[in-house]
Amino acid sequence: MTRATRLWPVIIISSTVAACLTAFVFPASPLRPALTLWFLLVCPGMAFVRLLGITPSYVEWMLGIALSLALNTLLSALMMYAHAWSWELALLLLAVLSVGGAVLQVGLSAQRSQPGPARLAGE
Amino acid sequence: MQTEMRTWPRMEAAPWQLGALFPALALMLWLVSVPAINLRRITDIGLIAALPPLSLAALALLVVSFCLALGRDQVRAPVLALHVIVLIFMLYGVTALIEEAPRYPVAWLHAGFTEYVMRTGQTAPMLDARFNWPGFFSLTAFATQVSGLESALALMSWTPVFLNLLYLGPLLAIFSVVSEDVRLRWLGVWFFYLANHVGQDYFSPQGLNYFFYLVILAILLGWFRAKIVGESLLWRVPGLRALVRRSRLAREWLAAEAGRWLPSSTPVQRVGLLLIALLLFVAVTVSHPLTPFFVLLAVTLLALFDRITLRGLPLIMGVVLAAWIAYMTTAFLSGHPEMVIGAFGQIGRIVDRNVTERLSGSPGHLLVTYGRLGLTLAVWGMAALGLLRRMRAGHRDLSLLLLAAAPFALLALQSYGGEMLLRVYLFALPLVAFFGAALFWSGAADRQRGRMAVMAGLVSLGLLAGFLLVRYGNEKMDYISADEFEAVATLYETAEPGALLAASSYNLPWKYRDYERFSYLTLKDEALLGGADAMIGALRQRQKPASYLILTRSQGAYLELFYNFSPADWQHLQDSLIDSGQFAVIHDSPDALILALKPVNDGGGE
Repeated sequence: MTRATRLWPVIIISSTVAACLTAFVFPASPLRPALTLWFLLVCPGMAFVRLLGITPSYVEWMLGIALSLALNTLLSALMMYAHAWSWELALLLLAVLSVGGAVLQVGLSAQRSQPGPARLAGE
Repeated sequence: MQTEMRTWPRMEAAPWQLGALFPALALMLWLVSVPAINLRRITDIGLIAALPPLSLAALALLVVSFCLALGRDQVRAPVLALHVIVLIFMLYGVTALIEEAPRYPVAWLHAGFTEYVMRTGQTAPMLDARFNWPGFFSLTAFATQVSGLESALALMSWTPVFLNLLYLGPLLAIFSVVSEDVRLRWLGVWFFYLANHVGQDYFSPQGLNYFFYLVILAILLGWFRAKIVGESLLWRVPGLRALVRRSRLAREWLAAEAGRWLPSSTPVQRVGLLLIALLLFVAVTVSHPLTPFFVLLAVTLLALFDRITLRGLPLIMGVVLAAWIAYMTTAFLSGHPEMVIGAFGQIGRIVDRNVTERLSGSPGHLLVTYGRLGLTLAVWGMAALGLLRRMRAGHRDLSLLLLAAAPFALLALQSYGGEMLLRVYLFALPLVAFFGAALFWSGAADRQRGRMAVMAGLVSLGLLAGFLLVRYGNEKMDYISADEFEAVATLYETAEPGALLAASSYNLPWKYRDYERFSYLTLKDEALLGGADAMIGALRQRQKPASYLILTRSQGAYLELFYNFSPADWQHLQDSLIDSGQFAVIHDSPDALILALKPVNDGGGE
């Protein structure tokens, strides 16, 4: 298990907890914008992109951020069209997704060795 | 590459620190000098006239340092990356550092759409056309509420820096697929940022969707390249297959990329990557009317010419796009069919709206406009020469050529409010920047490296001058002072719902709140042709329970830049409106005047 493999689930889960705490428990915290925007930008996407074993790392970041933004966009649009707008519910759903992906990362890396990296052509 | 990236910092700690010295110094000089910019001294050629010499020296130092780093025997990607990141901060963050309020009226309108979603939790397709593609506004409303910010205005100023940093990843990924030359990749990225003058990276759906567009291309070129030139859909066209077989040139181009830079991945990984690409496309489709067409066109060309293995992908994307248009935008488009194909085939009209109509205004503004055309042609010319150089070196970059050409097809379909040429330029720019870089680095021998670095540096300085002139050429009207913003806030506090809010042009920071509760009117033609009387007549004609006219400094600058309105004309217009006796002055500050139209029976009779 590489250092990154161990580290990312910890980063995702702790970021999720921090974002939910500042949004729901300490809404007046000055750290709230930084922690929640970091969570929305990185965690939902990285929770799943990390499962693919992409290299090099800048491409993994690119995919993680893009997937996060797309998931945020689609989830919020879906809630709007369903006349069920609730940022609280959307945040909770993304938190569950992120923690689920992080747990899956831990489970998969514990059960078997990672698949070979999906190397970008030319790299 | 993975191993290489992980070992750089440890192996080359000293060079890294040394290479970081000049960009750090340039950044420091920039941060010291930029606060000295006096926005009141900006002329008709924009920000470049007000930049202190130290700011220009900081930019020049960064350019020289970058080219020195390129010319060294052992090129170090982290050092080049640092230069590019500092460049992005300097070029795209300058307005956030010096302006008192976020720029661009459209960005304020987008903040208004965001506020509408935050307040109502709904979209309003019939209120504004853009609400038929509300993905970006739901995203920003969600992010604003989760982060506890009062409004999206707090996110606006630094959006260009944020988006341009996002573009860096997919640009590098695309260039990495095409060339193993690290210098060529980074020079392509460098040129992209020096030539991205179109200013679409503000708080807007298209700014974010451009990132998605680049990532989709990076995924397709990075992991789904065709291994062999097979029986592609295109060759089933009668006669075409025989034609290709007879043409040596066609065979050469079609076969040249086959088997080059093949990715390594498992089927599970490819399925995951394909799902990400599809999700991105769906997000693009629900967020912007134009970008999905650019994506679809690019992917279709790659599939038709057998550049990617996913031949069915254009069909899937087409179905997604058609379904959205057919089911989610029908109510609006049935009343506005010109939105889609309004100018189909009318090349003359499209050229007029995109080019000719923009060639007017004050001498300074004309210089900026011609500069924009000149910079565009120079970048395209450089790319053409770079392409020839690549071809002479034996490269046949059909994938990149197709992607560079694809956006031009949309030019024949739509003028997009006179902005289509800008969009075409933007969507072709990554490929154009790569070919431009290839003019200097295309298999250059080691002994030529120094000369090429000098040439690239000189061209970079030219592009930099062009960028500063063109990108911030309208700064006089784009800049919004705190006084103007406070006046608009006063207007919203004063005006009752249902009131008519009018201005002499579109460029003021309004519509950012309570969008559906007011009517809006711009009186540019009345102000230019009929003066105060025509403006009063237009307001009376609307017969609203209350009407307000707001005139701000930036509106005066707009009329000066585009219509040769002099400051004296602007002052005369304001005096005439006040002296007409038809208005009550409710706000008068150095940068803004707010007038309330009196009722007809209250001294405001005609």
